[in-house]
Amino acid sequence: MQHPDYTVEELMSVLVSREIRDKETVAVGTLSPVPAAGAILAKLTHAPEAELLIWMIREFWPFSEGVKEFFDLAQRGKVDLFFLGGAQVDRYANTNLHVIGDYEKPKVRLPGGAGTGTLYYTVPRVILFTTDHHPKSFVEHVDFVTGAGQSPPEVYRQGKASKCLTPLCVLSYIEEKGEFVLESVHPGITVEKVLENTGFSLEVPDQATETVPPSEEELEVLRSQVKEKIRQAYPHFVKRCIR
Amino acid sequence: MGQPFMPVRGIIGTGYMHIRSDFKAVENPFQEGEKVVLVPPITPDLAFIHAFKADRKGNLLVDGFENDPLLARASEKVIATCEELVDSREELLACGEGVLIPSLYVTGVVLLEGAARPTACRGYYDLDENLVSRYIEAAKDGEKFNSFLRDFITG
Repeated sequence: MQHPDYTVEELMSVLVSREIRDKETVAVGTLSPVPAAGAILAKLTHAPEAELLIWMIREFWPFSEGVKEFFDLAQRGKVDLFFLGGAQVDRYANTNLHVIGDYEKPKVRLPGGAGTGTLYYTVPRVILFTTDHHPKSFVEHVDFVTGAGQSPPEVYRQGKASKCLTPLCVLSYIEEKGEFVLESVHPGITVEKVLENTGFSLEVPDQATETVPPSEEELEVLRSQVKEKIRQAYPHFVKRCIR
Repeated sequence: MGQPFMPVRGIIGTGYMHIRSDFKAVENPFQEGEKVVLVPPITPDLAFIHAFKADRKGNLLVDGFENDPLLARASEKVIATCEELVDSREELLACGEGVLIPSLYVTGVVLLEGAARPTACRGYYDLDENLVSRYIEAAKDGEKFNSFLRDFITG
């Protein structure tokens, strides 16, 4: 499944980078090497004036009061884009970082949501990402709603999911439908493979395309400057996933 | 921190509201039509904090990435371990990296180099990936876990 020219993590980092607009304030939380790499790649290429807030990377973390200071900033509406991971993601853009199975008797206990339960509401644009794509991770309904794709109208909410990046494809969230549809499949991956590995009936619009592969420039910057900047925070990721 | 509760935005619509009966969804009294969640305070009886450095009075210099200052302010008692002990607060203030927790929150200090291992202590040592992997493996099985404890903790 691995592409000869790049790893799937490199491709996903490039896809993150392309989502970032210049001058945006972009934040990356804990255990998020792909968004961290992508955000730095964007800043070093097309978004030099993006303000990056990347937890655990000193160069991009201006706060001194732990993550609380960051949550406060997000609550003020000052963070434009954030990335949320999920062990499970469902059709309706809910994420699960709590348990697989029943909450009282879980099959797997996951690490928990950290800021997911509020950042999904306070940040106007949220991109979901997953490190695998199979029928048990892409489901009709998550086993536990850590991050809610939808919420009642009387609750403060600045935005919703915009996309979900997976190792196989890009899903795009359609606000009117309240669910994900297929946007593009990664090079070398078929639509059938995506559908087989998705645990709900995924709509494939006519305009679904192939994901534009990383350019030589994107890979070059990723494998040199970006790699160095994330090495200390993500040594394992750099070793295994960046060429 | 002595607060009766904290209002939080978001959360309504998530599973937290099913498992935390102590989280209360209420109308925001200052914004008609908006619902917010009130959460109770967490007031630990005892907190352990690992500091870069401590002085003889119990002032701590800790990693600013973490929420240790909040934890110290919320807890009844704080026991700190540290990599280095220095004489005065001035020496702590002179360090480039880290934030200060005042001694008035700190019950006791233990000089214990490497106390954060196998996790990292910024500027002192990195995560011990091997040991964490062994821990994850050992944690799957009672017997393996006991042997892990013997090898690395109890001796």
